[in-house]
Amino acid sequence: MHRTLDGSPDGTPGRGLPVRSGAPSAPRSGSPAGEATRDGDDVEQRLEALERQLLQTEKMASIGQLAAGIAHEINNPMGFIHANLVQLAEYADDLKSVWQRVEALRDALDDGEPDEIGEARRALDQRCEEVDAAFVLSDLHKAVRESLEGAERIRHIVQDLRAFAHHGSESPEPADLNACLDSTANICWTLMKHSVALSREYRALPRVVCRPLQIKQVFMNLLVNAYQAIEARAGDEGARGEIRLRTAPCPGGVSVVVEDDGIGIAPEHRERIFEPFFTTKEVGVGVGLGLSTSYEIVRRHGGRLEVTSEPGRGARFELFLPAAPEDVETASEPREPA
Amino acid sequence: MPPTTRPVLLLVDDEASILTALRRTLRGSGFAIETASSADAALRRLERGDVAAVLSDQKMPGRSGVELLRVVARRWPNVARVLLTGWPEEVPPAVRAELGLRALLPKPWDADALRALLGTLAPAARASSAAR
Repeated sequence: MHRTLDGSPDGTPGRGLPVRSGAPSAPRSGSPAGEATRDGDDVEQRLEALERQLLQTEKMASIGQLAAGIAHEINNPMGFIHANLVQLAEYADDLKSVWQRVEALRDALDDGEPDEIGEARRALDQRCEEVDAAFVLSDLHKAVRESLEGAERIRHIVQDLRAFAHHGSESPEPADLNACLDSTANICWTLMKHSVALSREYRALPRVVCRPLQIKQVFMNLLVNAYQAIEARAGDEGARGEIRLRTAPCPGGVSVVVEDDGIGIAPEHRERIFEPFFTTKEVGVGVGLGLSTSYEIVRRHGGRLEVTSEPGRGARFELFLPAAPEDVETASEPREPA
Repeated sequence: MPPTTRPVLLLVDDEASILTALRRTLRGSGFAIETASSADAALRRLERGDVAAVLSDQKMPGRSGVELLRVVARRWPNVARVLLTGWPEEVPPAVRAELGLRALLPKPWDADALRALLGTLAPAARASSAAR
C-alpha cells in the first residue's frame, strides 16, 4: 500500500494529482482526478500509480541527500566524543595509579617510619611525572566539556529532525510558518553548510491554516533547489553562495521568500519549471516533480508560488499563503517594499 | 649533542573539537603537533617547510582533503599523507593510489590504530615515545 505518512496529495483518497495526458501544456486546470470516462479508467489509474511512485522517487532523492548530510553532521561529534571518552578512560587509569601512590604515602605517614615515608613520597612524585599528572588534571575537564558540547549538538539535530517530522493531526491546523520554515532550514543546513551562507529574516506572522508537513515539504524543495543552484554555479572552487529566507505578513496572509545567488533560471525554462517532469538536473538527481508538487500544494492551500530569476543571477521564489480567518486583521499590514 | 627536534605532524580539519581530540590521542606520539582548519591554511603552513606528515579530514569548506593531499603529493612528495574520513567508500582505490596515501582512516578513529600508524611514519618519533 502506497500511503505516505504526511497526507500529501498522493496519499489522500480521491485527491490525486490531476492526470496529465500527452504533452505538459497548461498548468493545473483544477479538474479533480478520477473523473475519467469508463474507457480511460484503467489508464488513469495506472498513470496515477506511476505518478505516486515518481513522487516518492523525487522525495527519496531529496531525502537521500538530506540523510547523508545529517549523518555527516552527527558523525563528527561522535568522532570526538568517542575519542575523548577513550582518552578519559586512559586519564582515569593514570590518576588511579597516582592515587595508589597517595594511599601508600598515607599508610607510610601512619606508620611514621621516615625512610618509608621518603620512599613513598618519591614513588608518588615519580608516578605523577610518568603520567604527567598536571597535564591530565588540566585536560580532563576540557575533554569532558568538549564532549558535552558534542552531545548537545547531536541533541539539537535530533530535536530539529523531530520538529521537522512532526505532523500533528492529519487535518489542516493553524500553524506558525516561521517555525515550519526554521525547522526545515535547520535540517537542510546540515546538507549545505559547507557551501552556503544561510540568512534568516523572520517577521511576526499571522497563523496559516495548513498541513504543516506539506508546507515543510515545499520549503525543503525550495531550499534544496537553491542549494543545487548554488552548487551548479560554484563548480570546483567551492565558492560560497548565499540563501536568504525572508518571511513577512502581507495583505491577507503571509509571504515567504527563498532567494539564492546560484546559477539562475533561463527565461525559456522559467515558464516551465512548475511543470511536472520538467527538469534541468542530471538523471538520478530528481525527476522534475519537486516544483510541480510544491506548486500544487501551495495552490491547494489557496496560495501562490512565483519565481523571479535571471541566468547567472540566482532565483527568488515567493510563496504566498492566506492567513487563518481569525488572524486576518493582523495580516492586513502593508507589505514592505521589496 | 644537538637537541633532536620532533618531526612536525600537521592536522587539518575544519572542526576545532576534532583537532583537539586528535591532539589528545596523539600526545606522546613523538610528533610536534600543529593544526590548520582549512586546506588553504594547511598549504600556507606547508610552504614554511619542515612538515613531516599531514593528516587531513576529507569534507571541509573550500578544498576537500583529497584535493589538499593531491597538491601535497605533487609539491612535497616526501611528506607522509593520511586521509581521515567518515565516508571511506567515497575515496576509491584509484584515488588512494593516486594520492599515495599511507592510510585512509575512518571517523570515528581507533586510538590505538592511529598511534600505531603514526609510529610507522616516524621511526625516530617512535623511539622517543617508547621512553614514556
